[in-house]
Amino acid sequence: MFPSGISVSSASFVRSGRAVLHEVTFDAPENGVTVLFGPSGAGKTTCLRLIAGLEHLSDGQILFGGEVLSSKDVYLSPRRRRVGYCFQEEALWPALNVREHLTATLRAQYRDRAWIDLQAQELLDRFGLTSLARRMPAHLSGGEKKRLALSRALAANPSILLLDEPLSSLDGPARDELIAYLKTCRHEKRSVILVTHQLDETFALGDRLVILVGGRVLQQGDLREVMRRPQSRQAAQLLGYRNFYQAVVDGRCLKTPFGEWETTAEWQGEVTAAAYAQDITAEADPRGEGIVESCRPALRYFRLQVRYRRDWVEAMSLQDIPAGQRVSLRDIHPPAIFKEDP
Amino acid sequence: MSRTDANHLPINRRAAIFRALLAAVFALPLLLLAGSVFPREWPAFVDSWRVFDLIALERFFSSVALSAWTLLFSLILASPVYVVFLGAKSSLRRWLLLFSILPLAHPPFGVASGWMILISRIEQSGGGRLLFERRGILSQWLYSQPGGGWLLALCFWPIVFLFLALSAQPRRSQIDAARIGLTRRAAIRHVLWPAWREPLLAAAAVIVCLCLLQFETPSLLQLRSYSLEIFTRFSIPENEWKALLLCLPYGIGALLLAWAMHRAKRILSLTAGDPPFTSVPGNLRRIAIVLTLIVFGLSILIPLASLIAQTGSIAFTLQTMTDHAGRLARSVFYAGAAACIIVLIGVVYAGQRRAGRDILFPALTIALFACPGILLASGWLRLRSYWPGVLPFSVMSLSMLGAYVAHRILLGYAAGALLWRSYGERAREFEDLMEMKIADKIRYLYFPAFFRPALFAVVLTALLLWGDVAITILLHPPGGDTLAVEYFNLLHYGSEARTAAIGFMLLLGPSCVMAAVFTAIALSRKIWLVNG
Repeated sequence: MFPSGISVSSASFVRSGRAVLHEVTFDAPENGVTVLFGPSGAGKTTCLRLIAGLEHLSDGQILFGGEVLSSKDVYLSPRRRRVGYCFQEEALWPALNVREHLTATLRAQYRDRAWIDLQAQELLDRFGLTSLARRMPAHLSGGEKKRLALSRALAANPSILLLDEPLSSLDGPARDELIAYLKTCRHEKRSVILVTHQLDETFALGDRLVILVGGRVLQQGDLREVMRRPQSRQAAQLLGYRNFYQAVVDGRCLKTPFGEWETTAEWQGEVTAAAYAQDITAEADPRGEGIVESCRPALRYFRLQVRYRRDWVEAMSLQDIPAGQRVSLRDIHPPAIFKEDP
Repeated sequence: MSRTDANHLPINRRAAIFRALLAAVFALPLLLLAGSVFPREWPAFVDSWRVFDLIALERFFSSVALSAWTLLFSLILASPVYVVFLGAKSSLRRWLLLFSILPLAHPPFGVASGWMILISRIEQSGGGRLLFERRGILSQWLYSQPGGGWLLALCFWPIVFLFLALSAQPRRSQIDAARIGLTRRAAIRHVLWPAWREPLLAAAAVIVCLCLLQFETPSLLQLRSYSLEIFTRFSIPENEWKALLLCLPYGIGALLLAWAMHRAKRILSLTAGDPPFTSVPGNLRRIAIVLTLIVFGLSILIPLASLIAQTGSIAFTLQTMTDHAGRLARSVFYAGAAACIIVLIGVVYAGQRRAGRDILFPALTIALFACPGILLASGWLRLRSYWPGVLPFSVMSLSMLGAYVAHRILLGYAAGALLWRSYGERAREFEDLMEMKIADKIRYLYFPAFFRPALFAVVLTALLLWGDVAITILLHPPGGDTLAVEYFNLLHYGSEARTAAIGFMLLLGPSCVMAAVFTAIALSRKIWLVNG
C-alpha cells in the first residue's frame, strides 16, 4: 500500500444485478502515473468513477492518503475528494468559452477575482490555449478540446487526477502534443490514474501498470516489470506479445526452438515462452524449418508470417522474403516465460 | 456514517419528493373531479356505462375519420417541404425548420374561419360554378370531414415535416450505400423507407391525438366530433360522470402519444447541419420549391388575407385592435406566464438526477396532454370551489394558469429533457466534482447555457397556448377572457367584420412573435437550433 496515494482494496461494483468489478485491488502512488489497462468493457472507467465518487461501491474500500473515500459505510461526496477528472468525451460546457471554463472551475474554490484571472491565464499559457481563450467549445478541434478538458481538470489543483482515455480520437500530431502536456503533470505531487486500451499511451505515460480484464485485476506492478514478465497468456496477449511457444527451463538455461538463454526463473521443466514479432528474426535459408506464408512491409523492415513446424510465428526481417521461401528463425531477445495452468 | 457527506444521497431523496409533489399537484384536480362526480349508488354506476351508446360511437368514428383526413393532407402538404429540406444547405434547413413552426402556432379555428371566408367569397363570385359547374360544391366540401381534415392539416403538417426533418435524414453512409449499386426504387425501399417509417408513425400518433382533442374547428364547421360531444355533456352538471367516462378512449390517444414520445426520444436529433441529400433530382427540387411556397401561402397568407379582407378597412381593424387591447394583453400574459412556468418546471424536473428513469411524471404529462381541455378545466374548477381561500388556486386566473400548465406540461418536460441532453451528463458529473454552490452553478453555468434556448422554448410554448379555448372558456375570471375565447364566441353570433378583425389579431400575434424570433436569430445567430 502507498499511504500517500490511492489504494483500492477489494472493490466490487454491481450495476443492474451484473457484477462489473470483482474484488479489484491496486495502488496508485502519489508520484507517477498508474495506468489501468485492459480491453473495452473491462471495468476501467467504472474504477475511475468509483474513485471520483460518481458511483457507489458495492463492497470493499477506496482510500486516499490513508483516509477512506468510499466503503460500504462511508461515502465522501465527489466535491470533497479533490478529484480532477478528464472525461473521455471531454464534457465541456457548451455555452462557456475557453477562458470561462477555467474561471468557472476556479470560482468553485476561490473568491479573489484577480487570483482567479491570474490562475486562468497561467493555465491558458501552460496548455497553449491563450490564443483560443474566447473560442466556444464547438469551434475547437479535438486536440484543443482535450487540452481544455485537461487544463480544466487541473484548474482546481486536485490531489487526484483521473484521465479517461485522454488520447482517444486524436490524430498523430495532436496525440504527441497532448502527451507532451500530460508529461508535465506526471511529476506534480498528485496521484494520476490513466485509463487506456492503447499500448503506446501506456508506454508514453505510465509508471505503474494494472491490467484489468472482465472486472478483475489480471496483473499489476511496475510498468517495465509487467511488460517484461507477463504472468499469463492473456496478459501477454494484451501486452502485444504475438508468439507463444513451448520452452524448457533446465537449471539456469532456457531452451527455446530459436535459441538458448540464461534465466533466473524459479520454475523448472516445460514453460510457455512469449515473444514479440520484433524479438524473432528470420533469414532466408534453403535448409531452414520455417516457410514464409506472407510478408508485409512494416516501416524499415518486413513482418513475416511463418509456418514453423506445426505453429505460426510472426517474425521480422530486413529482407523482403517472398511467400513460400524457407527461412531460419532466431530470437534476438530472451522471451518472457510463464507457467500455464494445465 | 458520520463522514458520509450529507449532500449526495439525500439529493436523490429530495428529487423523488419533488417529483412526487409535482405529480400530485397535477393529478389532484382530476382525482377531485372523479371523486366528486362518481355515482354514489351501484345502479347509477352500472347505468352510467350506457353512455357508450350508438351516438357516442358515431361521434367517435367521425373524429377518427377527421383525424385520418388530417393525416392524409398533412402528409401531402409536408412532402414538398421535406424534399426541399433534403436538398437544401444547412442554413436554409435551419430557416425551414423555424418557418415551419409558424403554421403550428396558428389556432386551427382561426385558420379555418379564414378559409371559410375565402370559400364563401369564391362561391358568391360564382367561382365555384366556374370550377365545378355546380354552385356550392366548394362549401359543401369544406363543411365535410375531408374539408375539416384539410383545414386542420394546414396547421398540423409541420408536425410531419419536423419529425421527418429532425430524424429521418438519410445519413451519408446510407446515401453511399444507395449510390453503390442500388436502383432508385431499391434505394427508396431498402434505405429511405426504413428511415422514414418511424418518424412518420410518431408524427401520425401526435396528429391523431391532437385531432381527437379538437372541438373548436369541428364546432365551427358543424361537424360531429367526439370532443364536442364531451364538451356538450360536461356543460350539464348531472352528466359530468358520463362525460368523464366518455374521456376513457382518450387513454388510447395517451398511449399513442406515449409511444410517439418513446420513438421520438430514440430517433430525434438535430440534423440540420448534415450535408444536402444530393439524390434529389433538380427538376423535383424546383417543383418542390414552388409547392413549398404554395404550402406556406395556403397555411399562413390565405387565412390572414381573407380575414383582413373581411374586415373591410384597415382603419376598422386598427380600431378593433385598440378596443381589444386589454384582451390582447391578457392573452399575452396568460400564455406567456403559463409558458414560463411550464418551461421552468420542465427544466427543473429534467435536471433532477435519475429523472430519465422516472416513469410516473412523464406518464402523467402524456396523459394530461392527451386529456380534453374541458376535463382539466373541470378538475381545476373543482379544486377552486372545494378549497376556496386555502389554496392560491382559488384566485381564478391562477387556477386557469394551473390548468394551462397541466395541459401542456409535456412540452416543458420535452424541452427540459432536450436542454439537459444537449448540456451533457458528463458535464454535470464534472460539476459534482467541484465545490460549487447551486446559486453559482445557476449563475455561471446553467444561465449562460439555457437562457436563449429556454427563452425560445417559452416562446414556442406560449404560441401553442395562445389559441386555447377549452380551458379558458370555463376558467377565465369574470371580464377576463382572452382573444381566442372572444373570437370563438363571436364566430357563432358576432358581426362578420368585427369577428374577422379579432381573428386577424389572433393569427397576426404568432406571426409577429415569430418575425421577432427570426430577426433576433438573424442578428445574433446564437439561438439554439440555429447554431446547432
